Amino acid sequence: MSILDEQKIKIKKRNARILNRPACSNCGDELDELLVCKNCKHHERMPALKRIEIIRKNGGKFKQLLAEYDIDNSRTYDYSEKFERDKNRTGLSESVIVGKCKVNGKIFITILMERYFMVGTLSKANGEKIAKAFEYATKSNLPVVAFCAGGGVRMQEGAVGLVQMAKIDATLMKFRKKGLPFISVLTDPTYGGTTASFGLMGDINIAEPNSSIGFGGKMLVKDILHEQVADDFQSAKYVLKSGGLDMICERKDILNTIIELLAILNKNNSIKAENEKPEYDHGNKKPEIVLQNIRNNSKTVGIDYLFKLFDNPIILKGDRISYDDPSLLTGLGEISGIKTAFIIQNKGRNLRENIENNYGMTRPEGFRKAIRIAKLAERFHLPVLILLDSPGAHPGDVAEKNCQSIAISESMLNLLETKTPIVSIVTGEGCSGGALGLSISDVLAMFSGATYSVISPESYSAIIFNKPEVQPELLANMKFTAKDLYNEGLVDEILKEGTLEYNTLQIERYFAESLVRLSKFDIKQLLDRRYNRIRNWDKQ
Amino acid sequence: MIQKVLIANRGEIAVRIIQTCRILGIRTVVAYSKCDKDTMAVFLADEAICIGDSSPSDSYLNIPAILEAAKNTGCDSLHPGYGFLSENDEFAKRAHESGIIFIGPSSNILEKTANKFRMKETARKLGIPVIPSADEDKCPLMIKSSYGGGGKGIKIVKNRGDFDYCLKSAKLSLNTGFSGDNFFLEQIIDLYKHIDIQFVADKFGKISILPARDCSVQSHYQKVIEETPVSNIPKELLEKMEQDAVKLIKEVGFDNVGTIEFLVDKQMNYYFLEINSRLQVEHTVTEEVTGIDLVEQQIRIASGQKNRLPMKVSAKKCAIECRLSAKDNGELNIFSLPTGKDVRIDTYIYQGYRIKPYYDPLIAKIIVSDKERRRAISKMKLALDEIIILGAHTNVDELYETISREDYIVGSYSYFGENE
Repeated sequence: MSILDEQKIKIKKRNARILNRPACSNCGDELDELLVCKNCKHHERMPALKRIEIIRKNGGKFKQLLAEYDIDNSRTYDYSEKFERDKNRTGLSESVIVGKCKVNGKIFITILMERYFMVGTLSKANGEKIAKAFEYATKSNLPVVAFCAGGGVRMQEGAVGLVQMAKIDATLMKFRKKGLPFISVLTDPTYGGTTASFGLMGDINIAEPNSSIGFGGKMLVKDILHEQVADDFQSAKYVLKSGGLDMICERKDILNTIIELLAILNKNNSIKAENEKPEYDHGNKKPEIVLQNIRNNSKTVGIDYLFKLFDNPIILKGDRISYDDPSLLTGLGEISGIKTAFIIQNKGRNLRENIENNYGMTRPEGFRKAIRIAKLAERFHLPVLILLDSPGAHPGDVAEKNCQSIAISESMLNLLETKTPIVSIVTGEGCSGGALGLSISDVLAMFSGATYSVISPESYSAIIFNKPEVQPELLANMKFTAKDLYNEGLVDEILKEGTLEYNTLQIERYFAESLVRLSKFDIKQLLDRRYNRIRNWDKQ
Repeated sequence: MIQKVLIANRGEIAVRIIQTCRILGIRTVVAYSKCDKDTMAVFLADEAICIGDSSPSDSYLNIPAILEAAKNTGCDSLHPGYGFLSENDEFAKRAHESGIIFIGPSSNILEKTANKFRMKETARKLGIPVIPSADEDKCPLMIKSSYGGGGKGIKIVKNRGDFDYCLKSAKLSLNTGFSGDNFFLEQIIDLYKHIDIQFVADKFGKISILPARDCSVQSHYQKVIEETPVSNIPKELLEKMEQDAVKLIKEVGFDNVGTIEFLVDKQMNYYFLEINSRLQVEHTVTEEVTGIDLVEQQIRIASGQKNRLPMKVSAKKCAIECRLSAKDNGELNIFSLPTGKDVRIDTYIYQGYRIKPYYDPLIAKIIVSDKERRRAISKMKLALDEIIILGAHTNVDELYETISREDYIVGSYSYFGENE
């Protein structure tokens, strides 16, 4: 940005100040009614009361609950001056508001935090209120949506403030046991006391753009650790990349996203009995042709299938540990009316995408993300669809540092005991651990032009013959075509392959048909069947 | 006529004096302190001479060093600028004794005008209204220093109990340049406007009254925004002030360029405040509306020439000045100042200049003029938007906010600032 641009912004901000008009703190332009800049889309902090107002404007209902806990009679802390100041400033009696909402027919309990009241800190009164909110939701079988904001624990209350975090988590634990959904919306700023207790523990974590989300404040990092941090440290994008968030969602879309999520996470799933059957094939293709095809850049990749299969997929990101693996698309959506969790390996369509997606090589964080989605599916009774297309699990330094081998075996172990039907389809290249880690399923099919191999032909050649050029005679020996796999009894079906539209229809039909077949079994039978399937995988 | 002048000052006023001298063909020598070697005045002057350390008392207030410098560089005169020694009668006297022309009133006049309390008594005797005196039991009241200091010595005492503390802090705030620590007490008036009557008087008794200035936007009793001509004050009142000014100038026998300051309260009573026997910071607005070069007038009169201006000079247009000050010390690494028709910038800074902590934080005076006051305000707004200074914080936003006020635009705004 040039100095003149900076000057322009400075002048805009000053003029807004003179006119007493709220202005974007980033570019000085006008804000819309959602306090989002009309020019640069910068999201300004939104007071809790304003959020309630917006829920009501959108035809929603809001009824405040548990307000009686605001006055904590046992409070003898000496910060009444600030407390009174913020009471007058915000029109609230504490920094947390709890209410019951009804929007578009969806009823949920909402927890709203006010940053402008004592920096939104957790006090004894607040802790009690949030704990009660979770208890209330557990008792009345309602989902919880929290709009988190604010700093950490109210330090003025000492260790009593600190233990509020654990107190809230105790009630959150009971709430989760009941299998109810918790959606956390992280707004600017959300820190320690909130993020390290319940803020990032949502089944789905949504952040508003340009929010700061972190554990310790930037000043703390600077003053105590004397550490220099990057400009984007603790920004929503940074946390998304670190695997802590599912998505960053613009303020105007948040309410709709919540409604869509609650519609999927409600444990009501219907599987239609009459389905058209997919068309099967024998997979009589020459291995070199098959290899040529799957290596073709114009080949359909995971993301193409994703947007064909689902009208409005909700992509969920992050392994909630350290990273979001872009080579693996995971999330929720509906296929032929069946609410589904998906795990889709995604190569790139061009060099740029390939670099972004590690050429489709799944990283350990990818497997961990898959485990997380499988567990989410299990909690909300959603079947899992896995589409495989990867040249293998990532073998490099970044992968080894995060224990790739452990991630693959954990993925297999977890999928083995995931209490929901799993359908896996090899759409392209199924290679080595990258494929195997996500192949643990109740049914496994392959497209007629897909491959499934112990290793990529190039690596095979390099290891066995010491040269990376692929030999035609070797290809036949590798036995990686659909026909080979079918003959070995390693895959259940070969799906006929055609255009993207046709393939999508094939997947849809195969998925629906498989679920009908699997619906005969109860969960225990399903898991026994899966165990026996894997235990006897190589027995024809 | 003067041939070579020593400028015993720094900053923008030193540059301002050099500009006129160069036009008049007078050679200039700048006396500078150690840390001021890199200022614009040193670059522009024909000669420059260091007169001591950075602290004002070692340099710009150091009378022997300045006079020595003037003699060594062969100057026949010296210009004291404003502030520092500009109203010091001792300085004027010793310059005269050394055979150097002091560009300003003669030392006996300075001696009279320097004592504010005595001037007040003189005015009262002439029937000019003055602010009533107070005694320390009748609070609130105002403590003022007899030897001025541009508002620095003014303290408001709200309660009797605070009196001693306020007196002490008034004394502390006057630790530079102003001899004596005599204070007098005044009642608090319902202050509305601060009006300056600019005049030019010569040694032959001819007095010219120039358009008055409205200096009612202040911060801690330091002027921030000034304009001329005065709006929102009845014409008759202004005329009375001018008449009183002439009376006082005659009584004192003033013989150079000076200003008489009046205060006007909300009930439209006016009070004589003081005589400033020097060039003022805001002389620029008067120059803009009259076309008269006041520094030139000072030099001509000090050289013994006659005052050739008419008795009353009227304003041809409206001019506003904003004083741009730095709020902190820093290197001005990016810098852009306004340009265009009727925009005048008096400054001494340049790209890369580092602001000195020892002196007044004024970095530039932005002056705009136009036929209409409202248009002048619009011009000033644009000018302030054009100012880009990085490296130090300035008061540019406050200036802009002030001139954007509804009550400033209609001319009724005034602010003098709390002095705690």
